[in-house]
Amino acid sequence: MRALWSAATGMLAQQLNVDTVANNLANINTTGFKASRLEFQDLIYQHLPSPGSVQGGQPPAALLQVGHGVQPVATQRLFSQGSLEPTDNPLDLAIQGRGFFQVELPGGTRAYTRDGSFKLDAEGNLVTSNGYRLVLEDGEEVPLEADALEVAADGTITAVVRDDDGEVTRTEIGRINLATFINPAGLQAMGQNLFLATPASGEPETARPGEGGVGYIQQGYLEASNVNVVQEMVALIVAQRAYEMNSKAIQASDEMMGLANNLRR
Amino acid sequence: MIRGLYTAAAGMAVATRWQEVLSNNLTNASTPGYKGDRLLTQSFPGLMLSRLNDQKPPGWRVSLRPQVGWLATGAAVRRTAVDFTPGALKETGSPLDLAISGSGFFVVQTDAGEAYTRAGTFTLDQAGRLVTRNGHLVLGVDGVLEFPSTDRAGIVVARDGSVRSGERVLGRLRIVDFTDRSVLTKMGGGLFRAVDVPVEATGYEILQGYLEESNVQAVVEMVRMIETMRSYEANQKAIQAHDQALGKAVNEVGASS
Repeated sequence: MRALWSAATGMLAQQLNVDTVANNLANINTTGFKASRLEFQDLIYQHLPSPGSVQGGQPPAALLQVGHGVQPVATQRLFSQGSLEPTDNPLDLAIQGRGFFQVELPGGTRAYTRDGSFKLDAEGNLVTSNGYRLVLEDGEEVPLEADALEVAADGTITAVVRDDDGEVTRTEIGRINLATFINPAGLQAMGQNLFLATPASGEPETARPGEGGVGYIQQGYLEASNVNVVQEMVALIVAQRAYEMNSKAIQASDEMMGLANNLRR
Repeated sequence: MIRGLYTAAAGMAVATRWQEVLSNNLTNASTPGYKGDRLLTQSFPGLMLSRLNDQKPPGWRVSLRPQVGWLATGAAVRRTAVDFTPGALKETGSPLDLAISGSGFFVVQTDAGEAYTRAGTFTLDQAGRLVTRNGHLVLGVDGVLEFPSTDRAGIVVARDGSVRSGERVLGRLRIVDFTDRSVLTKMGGGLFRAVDVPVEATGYEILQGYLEESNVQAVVEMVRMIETMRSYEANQKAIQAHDQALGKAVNEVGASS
């Protein structure tokens, strides 16, 4: 009985849907997190020459097509802007608009992130919470005696050094360039708030913040997760009920098979 | 009596097929752009029953064979039909989610020629072309829609289907319709194939950041499932009754107690 297996594909798909929603909800406080959504497609159709269908002068039997259920086809990541929350930490940076920070993984691979909660390492490099270095243009280390770090909206980083006489020296120590992708939805999430470029996302294009449609940088802010709790809860309800409906279809199919078995007493 | 056995079996076969169709509809209750299936059934051709072995009235050349009445011997599946009622539009906020408000279909290029779909969950391939989730090219009025890789301004789709990147117009989505939609058959993956040539659709609006939800109404499908289930059960009971009656005929009629 096809109905049993169709309904089973539905239950599997909805299970994956709940997994996706649960992951979104779990990351409700993750800086720079982007919500995902599971997408479905109907499976292939079988064109049945229906047994017992009336022949002669009737529409061809191929018009009888029975589907085989559903398949999850993709998780679509939604790169909408998360709200910017003030933190008063000068090393917290947020992107207002399109674009990603570029960080260098051990081994030299570039990864991309919207999570701008940077730290300074022992050598004076800006690093992510996991210690991956932020890629800067003309980047130098932050001098150890620096009193403050200023990041302008266009990504220019300035170290402010105040000497004993109260004299202030400003040194430009590099600029943050943002990477944009033609199809950010094609990026591969690797965890730790990082994304990797894929053939689907296209090659990264780097640009100065604020230029040509790229977002600009806000110092002292972090981008909150773009997960919308209400939407996720509704999605959870829908997924759970759909799961239930499919289980009912399995039960009904099972009962029907039971009835058929009882034909011969 | 034996005839009734097969009639009831035909009823069970129809109910099984219904259950398959309903089950597929329910699993696709959250598939964007999915259109529910309906099963069309029909009665077997009727028979006119007449009595056999009647005595010919004296002097008559033919027997009049008095008629008993009309009888059909079951039901059969004729075909499935797709219910093209529009589904609800849901806002997703994703710029490459497109929904057609009104009638019409997106045109995509597959290996088997043009296919048509209402599921606007599109994405871009590595060449920057607009494709479906399965990588089929989405066609515009002047061919494939391709976005320059240096584009940073984002993609804007207007209500008339024209596609822009910033200020630059890249083309217009091709939206088609069919005068007779029963020519459309499902290919899976949300796609339809047609034997007819489509006509250009009119009176539609393209909504960016929206998806058309499945048009399956869970309540209706569940009620149909109950109905199917009970019809199956009733037919099963009919078979059992026939079986009992046959059993009596075989074992009890003429048995010396």
